[in-house]
Amino acid sequence: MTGEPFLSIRNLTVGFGAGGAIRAVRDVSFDLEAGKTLCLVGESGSGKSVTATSIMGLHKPGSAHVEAATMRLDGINLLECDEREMSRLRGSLMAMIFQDPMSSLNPALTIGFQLREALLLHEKMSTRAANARVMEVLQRVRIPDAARRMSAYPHQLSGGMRQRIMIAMALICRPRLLIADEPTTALDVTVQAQILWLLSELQREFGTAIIFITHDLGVVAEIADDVAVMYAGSLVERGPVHAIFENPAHGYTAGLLRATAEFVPGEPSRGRLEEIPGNVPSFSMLPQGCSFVERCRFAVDSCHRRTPDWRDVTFGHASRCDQPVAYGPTANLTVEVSA
Amino acid sequence: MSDNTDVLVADKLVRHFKTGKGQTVHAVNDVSLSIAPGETLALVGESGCGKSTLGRMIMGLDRPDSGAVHLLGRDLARMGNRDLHTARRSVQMIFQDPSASLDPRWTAEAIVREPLDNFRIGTSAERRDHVLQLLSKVGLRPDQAKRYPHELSGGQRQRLGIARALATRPRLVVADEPVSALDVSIRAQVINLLCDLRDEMKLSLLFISHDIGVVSHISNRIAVMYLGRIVEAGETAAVLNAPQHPYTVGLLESVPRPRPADRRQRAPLEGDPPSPINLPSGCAFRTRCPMAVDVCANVVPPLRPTAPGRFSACHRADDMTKKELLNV
Repeated sequence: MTGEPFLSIRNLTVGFGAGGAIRAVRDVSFDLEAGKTLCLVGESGSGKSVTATSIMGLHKPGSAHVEAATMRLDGINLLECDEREMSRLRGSLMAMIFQDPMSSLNPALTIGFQLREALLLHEKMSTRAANARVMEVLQRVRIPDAARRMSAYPHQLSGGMRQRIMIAMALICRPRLLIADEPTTALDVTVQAQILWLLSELQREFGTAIIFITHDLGVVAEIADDVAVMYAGSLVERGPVHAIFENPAHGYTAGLLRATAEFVPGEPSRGRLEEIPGNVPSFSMLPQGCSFVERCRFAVDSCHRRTPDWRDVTFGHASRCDQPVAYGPTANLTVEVSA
Repeated sequence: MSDNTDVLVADKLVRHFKTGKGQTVHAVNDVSLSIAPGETLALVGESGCGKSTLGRMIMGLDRPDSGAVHLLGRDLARMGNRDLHTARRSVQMIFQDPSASLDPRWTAEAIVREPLDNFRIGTSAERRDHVLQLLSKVGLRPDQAKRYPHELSGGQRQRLGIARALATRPRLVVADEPVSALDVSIRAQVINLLCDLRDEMKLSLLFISHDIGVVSHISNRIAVMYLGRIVEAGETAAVLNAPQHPYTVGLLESVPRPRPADRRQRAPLEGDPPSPINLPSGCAFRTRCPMAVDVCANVVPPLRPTAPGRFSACHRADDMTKKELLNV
């Protein structure tokens, strides 16, 4: 753990609208080690996708005000990169896949053409060499009958297969960072399991670092090394996956875990689900103090007055909550159950 | 399975669609099910398995090619338009996407009132009171009655969809993925609300979902569909704890659990479901089944009783207790 982390983000704030007044992401900081998976967890509008597109530099010019103290990837200061440099890094050093492969693939071009494009652009390969590499990658992501699929169009493939194509496209130049934004949300569970497994297999093989964006705690438990929980544009808790699930230290994380209906073989259903009352506040109407305060069953007076600072729970596990000891029962619940 | 007291009996339903190229989509093949008063039956399966088509036939929104739907003992197909109109009072639907199923130009109040006007239930004043009661029952405030759908959050919109479905005091509600579009923190609220209202109004519920966690929570019985057929059915806890069809096993194993301690070592099922246009011969699941033997390619396995209240459409259902055969 010496030296600079592979990816380091400090105090990232992203605003939209006039003067960046609508701050969709506020003061977000995290690190990611090479070859590890960080899950960014949160609900719609929590700022997880905006965080990702800011790292990728994918905002429309002039639409977003991105500010950060640090944004470094593999020794490169992303804040100093101009659009041309970012464009060179995208696809080669970092790549991104999205929820709906159909809207990321060009419906009028063959799979083979679209996969080849990155190689011709970034690696200045001959078409022939590129084709060979495309075949290899298609086989690697387990596309059956790869030679025939190269001349297929996106609509001729199943949803699971399209997402495999997206993964192939993202990994074809062997990027060191892959950002996956809800890549399995639109897929059936049996196909989701295949894609998650494929991603972790490829990660082991190529040592890719992955930022995986999801709202599904089951998926997080399945693939994360580290977890960062976002709520209303801010990071509220971060730590190793086991710590987050067994000893959640923020009212929101604890609430989410308790509100999730899950089936565990051999165990009776939990009875009435514990609700998180109310709705996610809009960015223009954030409450004073902690942004979760109005929905938190553990809130005390001080939570209304000031935004809590980061507190260390255990090594590597920190929470932005003044009541991190209050969630004991969840810890007991999880420990009991997994014992 | 048919009993005169059942709210709904579907008998050997078949629905095929023709594509533009003259091919046949086998959406629903020989499906029978029944729902008792106050009972919740969950229909589980992946996209394209026919669960929504089945729901539409039960609603009378689509007619089966063969087979019959009996609602409160009466055959939907034999009803004239007027009777069908009356029958719709007793079966209502909750949809997946509340923003697509609510008219954006109508206020919350008008949306819930429409079924009352449509079926001429009560006087005008009674209808107004009933609407306000319904809105408060689903947890919407009186001042939200004048709001339009876009002025409500996703969870509130789904509450509105529930209020509309309950306005005619139905006996059966078909809920097609009612919480899958909602955020996790809102899902629990809506699930609890549905459970409360079901118990209070003694509703029967056909709960269509792909989410095993939610289904295990809400349903009494479960029917698992694969490519147009029910492959397994039974009491929810029994099916989930000791599945008797290899597809159910694969499906359950595929659901990611919020337990980092028990991660899977690999994906439980390989491949995609085959297209409902070119169904494999014999058992439709055999192309992905770790237990398939010769007979599976030749004979369509019928859904047969395996234990009291349990049904499986697997030639090897009796071998299912031998876990090592499944290799999962």
